[in-house]
Amino acid sequence: MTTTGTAAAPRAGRPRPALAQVVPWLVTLGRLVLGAVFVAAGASKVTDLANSVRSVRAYRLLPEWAAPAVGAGLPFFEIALGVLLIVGLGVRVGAVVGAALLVIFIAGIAAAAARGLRIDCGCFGNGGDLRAGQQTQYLGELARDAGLLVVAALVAWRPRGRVSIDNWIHGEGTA
Amino acid sequence: MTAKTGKSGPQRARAVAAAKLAQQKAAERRRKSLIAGGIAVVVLIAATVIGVAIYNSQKPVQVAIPRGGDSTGVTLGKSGAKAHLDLYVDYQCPHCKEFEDQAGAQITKWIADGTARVTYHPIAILDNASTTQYSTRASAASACAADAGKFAEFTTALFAQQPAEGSAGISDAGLTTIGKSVGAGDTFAQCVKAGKYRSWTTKLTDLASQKGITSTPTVLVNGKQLDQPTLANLTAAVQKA
Repeated sequence: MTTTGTAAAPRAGRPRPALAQVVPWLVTLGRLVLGAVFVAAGASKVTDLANSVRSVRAYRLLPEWAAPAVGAGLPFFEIALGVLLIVGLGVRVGAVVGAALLVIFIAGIAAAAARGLRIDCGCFGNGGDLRAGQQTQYLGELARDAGLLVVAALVAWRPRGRVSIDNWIHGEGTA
Repeated sequence: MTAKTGKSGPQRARAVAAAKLAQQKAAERRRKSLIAGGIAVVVLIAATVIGVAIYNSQKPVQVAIPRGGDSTGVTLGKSGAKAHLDLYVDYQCPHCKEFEDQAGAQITKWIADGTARVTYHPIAILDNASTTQYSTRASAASACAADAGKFAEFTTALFAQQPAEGSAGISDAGLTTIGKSVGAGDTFAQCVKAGKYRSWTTKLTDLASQKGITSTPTVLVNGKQLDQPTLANLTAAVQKA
């Protein structure tokens, strides 16, 4: 089956063959990167939930009843989300949720910066107020989250990459 | 592009069948995607609920209270004093050591002459700055020292020997030695070893955090926070009190 002459299949709106080969792997790579970051972020907080709750309070955004739920729930949520993305189960949902989470993080950090708070984002543990002499890292933190947001958007746009449980569920083999 | 008019019967039937099959396949795909997405949502919700449950189970229920203290800290000095100082410190915090070096002697004097009553809140927010949760262990040990009536002396000694950030801190045995050097006895050693006041430290750290105190040292004079915790600012505030 060569694609010579008149028999060329219609492929309007489909990626060209070369791209069609690459995109699924890019999506898989994006899934793995995003998943690994979320697992790492969650794991760094999960060992000290009290600290995680204090980090949330340091943003001074949430009422007291909500801070423990977010501070204690988020690390586990992040780990679960990361694992889902890595194994490729419900990838579109995972990517959309991940993107939403990143938007919330970006808003939270931007709000802290705008109000002149001097805090560590607590993204990978160690949150709360900075000690005197420590510099805030808001720009770097925002840039990192924005980069991850782009990756999450790619995965949400074309969730069907290679090597995922979703593929297996759809009876296409895991590859 | 299916089921165009003007085609012969069998052709049309085939086209209709193909369209139906495609439709069924699409529905099947949607159903499977929904299942995968549904599982993902359930997993995320379950993980969050588990996290909150674990946090709640870790919260200290009954907290042992050291002598001269309550669930927020340890108070020193006469009750009629005109100035009440609240000192939020972490034994691992370098600026707390600086503050103690600067103001410690003056505070001791104020306590002795009845000018000030001082509540120390030895919070543990820098557990990550040592490999052994030194902040928590030191704070819990300070409560043991309070039981022995040696809180102030122990605090001074701890700041004098503050371990570097990122180190293993001072071991429980080391804390016991320091306690003995300021006159705390065998009960103190057992108290440190048993970690009797660890939950007290957790509790008072959480209470401070709820009050919005997230950095150390934080110094309040009669409820008013000093902008910069220096001896000059502190003296001025105490004189005005």
